[in-house]
Amino acid sequence: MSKSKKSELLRVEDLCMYFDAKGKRIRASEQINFEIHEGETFGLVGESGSGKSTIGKCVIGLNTPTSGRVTFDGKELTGVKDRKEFRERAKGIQMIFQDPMSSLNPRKQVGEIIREALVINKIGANRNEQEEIVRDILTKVGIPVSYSNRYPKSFSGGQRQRIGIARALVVNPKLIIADECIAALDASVQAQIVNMLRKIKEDTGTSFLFISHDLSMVRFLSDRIGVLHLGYLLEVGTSEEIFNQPMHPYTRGLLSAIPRMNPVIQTKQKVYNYESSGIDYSLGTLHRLSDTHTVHCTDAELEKWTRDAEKEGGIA
Amino acid sequence: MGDSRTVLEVRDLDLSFRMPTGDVHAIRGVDFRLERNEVIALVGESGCGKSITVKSIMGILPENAVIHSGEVIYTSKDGNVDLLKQKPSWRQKHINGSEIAMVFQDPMTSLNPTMTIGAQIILSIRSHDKITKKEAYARSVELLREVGITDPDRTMKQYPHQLSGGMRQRVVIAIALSCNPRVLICDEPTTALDVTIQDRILELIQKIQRSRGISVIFITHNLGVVAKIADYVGVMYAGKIIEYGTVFDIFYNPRHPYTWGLLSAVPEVSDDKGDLYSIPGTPPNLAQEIVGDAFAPRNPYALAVDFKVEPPIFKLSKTHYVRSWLADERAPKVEMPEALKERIERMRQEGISYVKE
Repeated sequence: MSKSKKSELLRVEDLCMYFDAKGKRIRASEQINFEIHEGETFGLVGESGSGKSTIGKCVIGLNTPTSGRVTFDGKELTGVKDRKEFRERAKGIQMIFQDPMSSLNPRKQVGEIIREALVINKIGANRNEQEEIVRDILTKVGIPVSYSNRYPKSFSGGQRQRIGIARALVVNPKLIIADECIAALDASVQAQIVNMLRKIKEDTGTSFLFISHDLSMVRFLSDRIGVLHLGYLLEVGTSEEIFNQPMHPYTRGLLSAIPRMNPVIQTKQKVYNYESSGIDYSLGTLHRLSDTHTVHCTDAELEKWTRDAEKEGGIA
Repeated sequence: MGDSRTVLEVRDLDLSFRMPTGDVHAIRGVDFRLERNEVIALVGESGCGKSITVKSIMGILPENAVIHSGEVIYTSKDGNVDLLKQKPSWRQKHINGSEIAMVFQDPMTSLNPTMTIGAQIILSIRSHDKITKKEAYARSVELLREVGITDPDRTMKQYPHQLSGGMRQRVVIAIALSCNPRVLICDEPTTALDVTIQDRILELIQKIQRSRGISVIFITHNLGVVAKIADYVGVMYAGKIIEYGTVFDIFYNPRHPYTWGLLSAVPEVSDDKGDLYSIPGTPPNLAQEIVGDAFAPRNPYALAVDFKVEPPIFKLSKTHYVRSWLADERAPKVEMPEALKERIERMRQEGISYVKE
């Protein structure tokens, strides 16, 4: 039920990213396909080592993909050798990192940190105008304007993350890549940041690529979700599809492992073990279950899982 | 008092940290009792004093900590001892590891990166029990098997960096169990792990707790984890336990507005997308004197008295205690927020249909 087809902002096609280390080839991402529309939030979930961050880095050019194509706003980002040209094409993409302390310059006042983004992107005619924009953005993310001459160390973790978000937001990006941006925060602060991100999304229509291992937060923020495991994008669907009709056994295992806030219910994890499951990801192909719901598997697997799902559906 | 089931009792613990800028009053009177074969979870936001409480039990407080008052009574076979009055060397020999063991959040920092897993477990066993290396090796293999490591002989030869995060945490638990402790303290043992691994580690701790009949103090800020593992829950705020009860008391009949806030802030898996609830404001600065109820400035239900007088502990039932003036008979009747009430009702229904199945 997507609200009126919006135009496509980011397209990732057959993206593969291999790392060669000590003669061993590490396959971090295999044949990744997904797209993000304007104003949409796409959530990527998976356990550590599943290749979530690699994909984010490939999009923003911190990794050079081994093969495949990344297209942003109609322009191809892959294969652009010239840094200047790449920067021009990827201008509308910003990133928010996990650890706000290590992504903010400790020797600069936060007002300057944010203004620097404006200088680099040549926004605002002069210093006064830029400072005006900085004040606006600080108010938007809930940091008192009077704090703009303080240094990162005098802020709490949640406030620092707000500053990181302000810096990303100030250049009016079309797409923000948020890589585990709430993982390091306390639960109640997480809620504040997540609410703020949602409000920003509604107000500005910015698209998000939200990378996280926290399923309940991903569900909360995302319109569509992709589930990653061992470098393969196993299942893609709307939040409802992933949470209510998960098809891949890995997705089901992942969902069943979320601790439930109910002392009576003891979760029974559907333990999923790749080695013993008999599933070989490299044999799978893309299967379309609905307009928005896709699964990576073989024909036989899909048939079996569909039967299993029907059986279970009968009990519940 | 004098209850033979009691293993550990913390009484009126009060301590601060000396800082160049003044004293930070981190623990302002903590009381709880741990009984045999029981799991207590301590929950609260960071900085509420959960970790400091267990660190004082273990005697591993930072040097600038000053204990003003309180007792930590440990009941062993030979009678009661106040751990706070003992010398570190005595504790090290008689308590830490052999009676009370601890598992920390980050397994990488509690394992020695230059020693094999085997060497570390054997060292820990032999430092408490005078047995031969061979016997210690056999016991180590047994321990690794107990914590669910399938090929223990291979793991014995490996170094910490060769193991995954979940495996490492299993090894740390094995080391904690190596001297047969009666109390296991777990400080956020699953916070750094993925959900699937977290679930397995929780199940492991539960299994060990039941099969060995030990008592566990479990620190976490994840209420889902609490619901899964705990028998009793202590909700901490600004250096005090502000509500204490069984898991059912806390999840089905919470009485402190702070507990209401914590429960409301957990995103629901089956949720339409309203805003996530977050408790307004920030925890108080413990470097300043706190007058009245520490939570009052953030509490939408605060009464006038909350800003002046610290609420005492009110006993609501045999198991359920709360530190809030709302429980006083003179207080106006205040109900929990409607949304939370509905949610708890849903949890109840879900629980009933779950039990029927």
